[in-house]
Amino acid sequence: MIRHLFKLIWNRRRANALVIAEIFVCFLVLFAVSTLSIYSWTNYYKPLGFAYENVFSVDVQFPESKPDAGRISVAGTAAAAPATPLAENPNESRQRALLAVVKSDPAVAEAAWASPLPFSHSNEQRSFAFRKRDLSYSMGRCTDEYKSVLGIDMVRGRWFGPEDDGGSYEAVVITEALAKRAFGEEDPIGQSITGDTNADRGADVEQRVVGVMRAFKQEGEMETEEAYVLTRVLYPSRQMRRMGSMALRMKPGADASVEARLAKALQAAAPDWSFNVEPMVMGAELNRRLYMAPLGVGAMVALFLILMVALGLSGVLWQSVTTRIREIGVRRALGASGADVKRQVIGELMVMATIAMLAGIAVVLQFPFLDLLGPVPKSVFFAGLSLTIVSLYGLALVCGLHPARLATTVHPAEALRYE
Amino acid sequence: MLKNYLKLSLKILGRRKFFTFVSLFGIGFTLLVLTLAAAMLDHVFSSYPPESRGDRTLVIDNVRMQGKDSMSTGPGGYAFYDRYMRGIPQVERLSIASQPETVISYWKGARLKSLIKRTDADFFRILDFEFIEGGPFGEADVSEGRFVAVINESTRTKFFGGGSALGQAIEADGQTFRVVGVVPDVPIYRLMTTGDLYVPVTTSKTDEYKTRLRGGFFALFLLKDKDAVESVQQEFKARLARVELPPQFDRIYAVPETFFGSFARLFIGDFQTEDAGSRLMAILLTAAALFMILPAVNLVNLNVSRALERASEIGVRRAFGASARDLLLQFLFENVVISVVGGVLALACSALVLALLNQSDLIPFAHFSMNWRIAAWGFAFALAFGVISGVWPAWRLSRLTPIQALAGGVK
Repeated sequence: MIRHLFKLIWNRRRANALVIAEIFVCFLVLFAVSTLSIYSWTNYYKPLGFAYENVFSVDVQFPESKPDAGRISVAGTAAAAPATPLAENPNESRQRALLAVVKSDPAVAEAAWASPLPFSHSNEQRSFAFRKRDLSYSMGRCTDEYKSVLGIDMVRGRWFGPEDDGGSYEAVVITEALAKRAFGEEDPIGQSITGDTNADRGADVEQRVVGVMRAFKQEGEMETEEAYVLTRVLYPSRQMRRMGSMALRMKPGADASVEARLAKALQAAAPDWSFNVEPMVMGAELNRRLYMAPLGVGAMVALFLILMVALGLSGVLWQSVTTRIREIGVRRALGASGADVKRQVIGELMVMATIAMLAGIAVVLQFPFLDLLGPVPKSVFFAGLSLTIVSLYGLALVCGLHPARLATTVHPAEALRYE
Repeated sequence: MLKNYLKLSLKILGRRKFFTFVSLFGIGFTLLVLTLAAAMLDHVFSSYPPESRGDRTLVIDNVRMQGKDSMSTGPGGYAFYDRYMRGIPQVERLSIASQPETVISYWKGARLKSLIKRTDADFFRILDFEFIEGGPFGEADVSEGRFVAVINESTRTKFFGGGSALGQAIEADGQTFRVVGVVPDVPIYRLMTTGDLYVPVTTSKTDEYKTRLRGGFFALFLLKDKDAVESVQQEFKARLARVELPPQFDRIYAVPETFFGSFARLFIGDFQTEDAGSRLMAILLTAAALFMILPAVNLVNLNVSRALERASEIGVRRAFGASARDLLLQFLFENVVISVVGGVLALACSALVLALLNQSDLIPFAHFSMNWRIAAWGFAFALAFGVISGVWPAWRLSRLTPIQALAGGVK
C-alpha cells in the first residue's frame, strides 16, 4: 500500500515537490513557534527565588553610581572625580545615613542596599575559566539585610552576615543551578568560586560560597539566566562606592503617600542626589509586558501563516482531486469503495508530509549537533520537535479531509466521461 | 497589450472565488506584516516634526571607547561634545541633550512619572517645535542655570488639567521649575527628541556631567548645507584624535550621522565601518525576503495546481504563434496584478492597524500614520512578492507545447 502510494506520488512529482516544499517550510515555522512557546512556558513555572510583593525599589543617582568610564578632570570640578579608584568609599557615611532614614519610617519593615535590583534591566555578567571549564554567571551585590527584604529562598548552607566579617574572603550565595554547573555533585558550601587564573578572577579576593539559594531570576518570571551570584558588600569597599539602589520591604498597605514621604526624606538627607522610589510590582508588570508583547506578535503572525498554508493546501488538494477525477473513476469502477479512495487521498498527503518532515528534522537536528541551542535545553528542543510533528500531521489531516470527502462523491460513470 | 493582460487577470480573479480568497488572504496578510514593519521603522528613523530639518541634521547617540582590555559603549558624555566638537565649520548649530531620564513628581497626592531631557537653547533652534503656548528657554536661562521648563501637552494635562501652564511651578525629582512653554507630545520612539520636561542642562544636581567623555548625552548637529555631511564627518574624525582619553582607553569612535545610521552602527556592533546603515538595510531586507518564502511557496502551489484551468487557453495562444516568452510575461504580469491588489488591501489594513495602535496606550504618544514613503515600500514589497511567487508557475505554463496544452495534459 505504502509502496504504491510512493509510486503515485512519484508520478506527479513536479506538483508534489511543491507541496512537500510548502510543508517543509511550514515545519520550520511551526518548530520555531512550538519550541519557543514550550521554552517560555517551562521557564515561567520555574521558581523565582524571591518575593517582590510589598517591596519598594529606590534608585539612587549620584556621580559615582554611573559607570565611571571616561571621566576627565576639568578645573573647578575635579574634586568630584579622582583619577584613580579609591580603596575606601567616600560615600560611606551618607549611604549609612540614608539606610537609617528609610529604616526609621514606620511603614518600612526592613531595608538593604543592593544592586542591580530585580527588574532593573541592568546586568553584570562574568565569564571565566573555572576548574579548566568555562563558567559564566550574572551577579548582584547586597548588604546583609537583603535576604529578609526579598525573602530569598535558601536551600543549603546559610545566608551571609556578620560572621563573615574580617575574613580573607568575600562571602557569596549562589543559585542551585550554578552550584550544579560549577561543583556537580560536590557540596558547594565552603568552596571557592573564583576563576582559575588571576586575569580571569575579576575579584581581588577569594569568593567563598556560604549558601545556596533556590533561584534568583533577576528580571522576573521570564528570565532565562539561572546562574546567579549574590555577593556580600561592605560599606567601606570600592564596590559600595558605586552602589546606587536600595530595596525596602514594606509593611502591607504602603501606597503613593508613603513613597512621597520616603522620597522627600531621602531628598532632604542628600539634596544633591536623585531618588526614584517605586513599588517593585510595577517593574515586574512592565517586564511581563516587554517579554510577552514580541511573543504575542510572533505567535499571531505564525498563526496566520499556518492558516494560510492550511487554506492553500486544501486548495491544492481539491484541485488535484478534480484533475484526477478519471483515475478515481477507474478505481471506483474496479470496485474500490469510497473509503478506499478517501484513504488513498489522505494516505498520499501523509506520505508527503512525512517526506517533508524527515527533511525538516534533518535540518533542525543540526542545532543540537552544532551546539547552536543557546540556553534552550535539549529536553525542550525534543518536546518542541514532537509537538511540531504531531501538530503538522494534524494539520495535514484537517487539510485533506474535505478534498478526500469530495473524491468519494465521484460517481464512476460520470467520472469516466468527465472532460 | 498590457491592458488586455490586466483585463484577463481581473477576469480570472473573479472566476474561482475560493482560490481568489486564499490567494488574496495570503498575499494581503504577508504584505500587511511587511508594511506595518516598514511603517514602524519609518516612524522611528525618518524625519517627522519636530525634526523637520532632518535632512541636514546629524546625530551622535553612541560613542565607543576602546582600550587593551576594556571597552565602553553608550551615549557620549557632555565633555566629549562640549570640549572637542564645538565650532566645526559647516555646522550651523550644535545642541547637546541628555538621554530622556525618568523622574518622579508627587503632585497633589499622586505619583507622576515623567521623562526629563536636560538640554540647551540651541535644541529648540535645531528642532522645529510648534509651541502651543509660551516659548523656548534661551541662552541666558541656560548660562544662569535658571529653573525653567518647557513641557509637553500631556504633562500639562497631567499637572494642570486643561488650563494654561505658563508661569506655573512644576515639581520633579525634588526640583521646582517654572513652566515657560508647552509643546506637542513627541512619540516615545523618537529617542532624540522625546521628553515630558525639557530643562536647561545647568539645572543638573551636580556639575559632574561636565567632566564625562561617556554617558548620558546625545548631540545634534545642524549643518549649513545637506551636502556638507562628508566634510563634517572628516573634520569630526580628525578631532577624535585630539581627545584626551583616560589611561585605560587608547581609541575613541563616534560618527555624526543619521539616526538610522547611528542605530545600525550599534546594532551591528562595528564602530569603524563606513556604511552601517546600508548593512542593516541589507539585513532587514533579507529578513523580509525570508518572511515571504512560506506565503510565496503557498501561492506558487496554488498557481501551478490551477494550470489546468488555463491549459486550453495556452494551447490556443501557442497555436496562434505566441512565443513562450510572451506567455511567461503574461502570467508573471497577472501574478503581479494579484499581488498589487493584495498590496492595496494590505495598505488599507495597515492604516487601520496603525490607527488602532495610536489609540491604544501600548506605545506612549504613538503617532503612526501612512505616508507616500511607506506606501512606496508597500508597493515595492508587493512587486517583489509578485515576481518571487510568479516566476516558477509562469515558466511552467509557458513551457507547455501547444499539443499538450490543447489535450489538457499537465502532469
